Amino acid sequence: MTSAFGDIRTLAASDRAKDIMRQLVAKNLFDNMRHVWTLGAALGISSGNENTEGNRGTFQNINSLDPDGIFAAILLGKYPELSPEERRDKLVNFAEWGIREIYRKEQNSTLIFSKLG
Amino acid sequence: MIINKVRIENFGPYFGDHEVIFNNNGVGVHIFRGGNGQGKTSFQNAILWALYGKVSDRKGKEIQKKSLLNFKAHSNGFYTYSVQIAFNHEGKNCILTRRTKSMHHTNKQYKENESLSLIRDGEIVPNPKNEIERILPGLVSRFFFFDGEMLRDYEELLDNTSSDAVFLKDAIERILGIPFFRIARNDMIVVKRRIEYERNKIIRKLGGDQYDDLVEQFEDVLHEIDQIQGTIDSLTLQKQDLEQQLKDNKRRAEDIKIIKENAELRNKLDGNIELCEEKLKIQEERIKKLNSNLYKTILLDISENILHTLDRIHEEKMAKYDKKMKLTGKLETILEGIKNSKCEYCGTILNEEKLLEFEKEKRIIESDIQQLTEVPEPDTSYDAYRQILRRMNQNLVDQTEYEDIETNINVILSEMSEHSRKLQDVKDKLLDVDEEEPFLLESKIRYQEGEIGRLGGLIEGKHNEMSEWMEVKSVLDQKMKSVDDDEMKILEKRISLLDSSIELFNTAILKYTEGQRNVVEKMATDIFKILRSKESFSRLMINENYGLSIVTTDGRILNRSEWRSAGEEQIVALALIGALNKCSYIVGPIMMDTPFGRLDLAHGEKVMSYLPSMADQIIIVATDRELRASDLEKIQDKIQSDYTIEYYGPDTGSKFRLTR
Repeated sequence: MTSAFGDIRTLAASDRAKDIMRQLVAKNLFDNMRHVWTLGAALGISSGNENTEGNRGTFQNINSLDPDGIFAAILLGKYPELSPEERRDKLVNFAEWGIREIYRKEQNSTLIFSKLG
Repeated sequence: MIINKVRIENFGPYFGDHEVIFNNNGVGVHIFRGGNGQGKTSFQNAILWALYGKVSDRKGKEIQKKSLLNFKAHSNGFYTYSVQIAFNHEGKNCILTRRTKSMHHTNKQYKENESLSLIRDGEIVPNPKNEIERILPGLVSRFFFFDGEMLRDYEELLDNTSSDAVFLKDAIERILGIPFFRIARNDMIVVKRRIEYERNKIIRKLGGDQYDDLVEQFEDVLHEIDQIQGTIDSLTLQKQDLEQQLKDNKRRAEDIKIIKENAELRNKLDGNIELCEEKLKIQEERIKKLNSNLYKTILLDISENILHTLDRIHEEKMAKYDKKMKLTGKLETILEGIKNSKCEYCGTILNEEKLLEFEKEKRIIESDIQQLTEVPEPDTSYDAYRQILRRMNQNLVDQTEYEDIETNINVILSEMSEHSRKLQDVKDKLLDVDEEEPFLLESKIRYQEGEIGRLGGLIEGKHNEMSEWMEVKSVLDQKMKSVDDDEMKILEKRISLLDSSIELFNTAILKYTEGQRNVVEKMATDIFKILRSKESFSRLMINENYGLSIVTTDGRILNRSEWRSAGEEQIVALALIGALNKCSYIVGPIMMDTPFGRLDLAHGEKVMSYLPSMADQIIIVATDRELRASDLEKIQDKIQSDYTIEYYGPDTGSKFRLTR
């Protein structure tokens, strides 16, 4: 059986992304950082934008971030030729970009959830 | 008094030196226009400060001296301000200068260092304060320099018996010259008392126990009368003082009542804001819930393409598997045929040549199977991911829900903002409030009311006592008249003459007062008829306190609640002031701040047309909104100066700009 992310168990995030996620949760826009991450990742994937800046540290278990396997399905379908590690890195880069994008929009008051995506 | 020029230095919004010249030597109408907060009222305050050394706000509270200094001057460390008025009075040119300077920005220092000088035709007037009181007494200045917004207060004051009303009645009577008669009568009473003492001396000279006793009794009576009068005066002063305090306390109590209402309003607004916050929280929870699934909605668009890819890969994988399964079945059949040397399909016995063919085919199939996959099971993971993506649309976010939430949030925020604005207003009003104050004030008011009643009773008792002593004095007077002495007879005649003169003056005061009241009533009615808008209002009627009522053409006397609109109150008060100025022995300018604020267009036009006839010098301080060009046209030939007052910010302050 093919697995999109192989034996990978955790996903990483940069300190900047973690800081942004904390701030957005504190602003009562999200229940927890996981929800910021999933929205960020979706935005990155849908727009095709990635961010590779910053040192990445362990963030959360992949099963917590993608309990339904949606991201795995999308990444596998989008990049069937890549290795699980490469797919994981892609996903993390998408999320990093998306998280920053949410924050940017929030900061300049253009964050309209109904118009995202 | 006609003002020709005013110089202002660092007073209120006026930074530095400013000079205002009233054209035509001050005679005629002079206009000072400007928006709110430009410095119009401060201009009037500057003149009042120069004349009387103090100015009050609209609540009648004296403005602190340090607050009169210009802000910029204060910032620059100049603690000096002054106002100079050049005017003509009784044909003489006068220059009045009031100046104050201080080392420190404190009320005490400004008060201690205040100076006043008056120069008349080039000569210094020794007691300028008294001279100003003679020219335009401070007590009556309110009838010459007044605030249109406050006009109805005059009428309200005349309706009650507070010390303010007494003060105002005194001022009106002073303007009408009534106190002069009272002073003359009181002087006669003093002369009479002197003659009575002289009479006592003569009786003593006559000698004899009987006369000594009579004189002693008389002197005792006079002493008692003087003492009682002193007590009455002192009690009256105490009572007036208490009445003033009571009035202040009642006003404060009224303010506190508003504060109490404000406190309740604050709690209500606090509750409303909390409710809004809860509503907002509900909306935030909705957003958070939607946001937790929003990624699925965003990914949905691309998931269609992904699904196709996964489908394709899955189908490819499954096609390979199917092919492998077919080949495996075929291989098993071939293997069985080789084993039994018999074809499993057609039952043909296989010879050596056929067996070799079977062997060859077996090897090809085994190789094909080997190439298809090394894993015997089919790869269903793509199918599993496919299923995940297909299920994804079960928890999608309806984006119109966001719009609904955003609408709700906007409504809630707008409500909250309105509540917060009101709450801030209320909080500002509740600053520095002492919770104990209402109770303390209540007990003070009760005590003061009781004390005023007690003093009133004491005064009444003293008046009764006085009447008794006056009767005793009258009996003794009779006895003294019976003393047979020429010199005594002369004195008796003088006393008798003074008695009749005093009586005459008492009657004259009543008649003159009544006469003046009638004149004021007639004048006020004449002015009212010019200014009124309703033909059904026939005339004005004056009461003992100089309060005015409207009488209709059918003779009905309207009480205030029946006719008072703010504008009508202003018209009646203006009629009263106009009448008082016409009847006054004092000649002064009329300076009106915001005279048309409460008047409608028709009344504003009538008042504007009438103003020039009120006094030789009319100074109108008004907003542009009040001064309509069409109204001004009616008095075009009377306007001598037209200034615009503009405020240029704290660094520059206000300036006068002559436009005519």
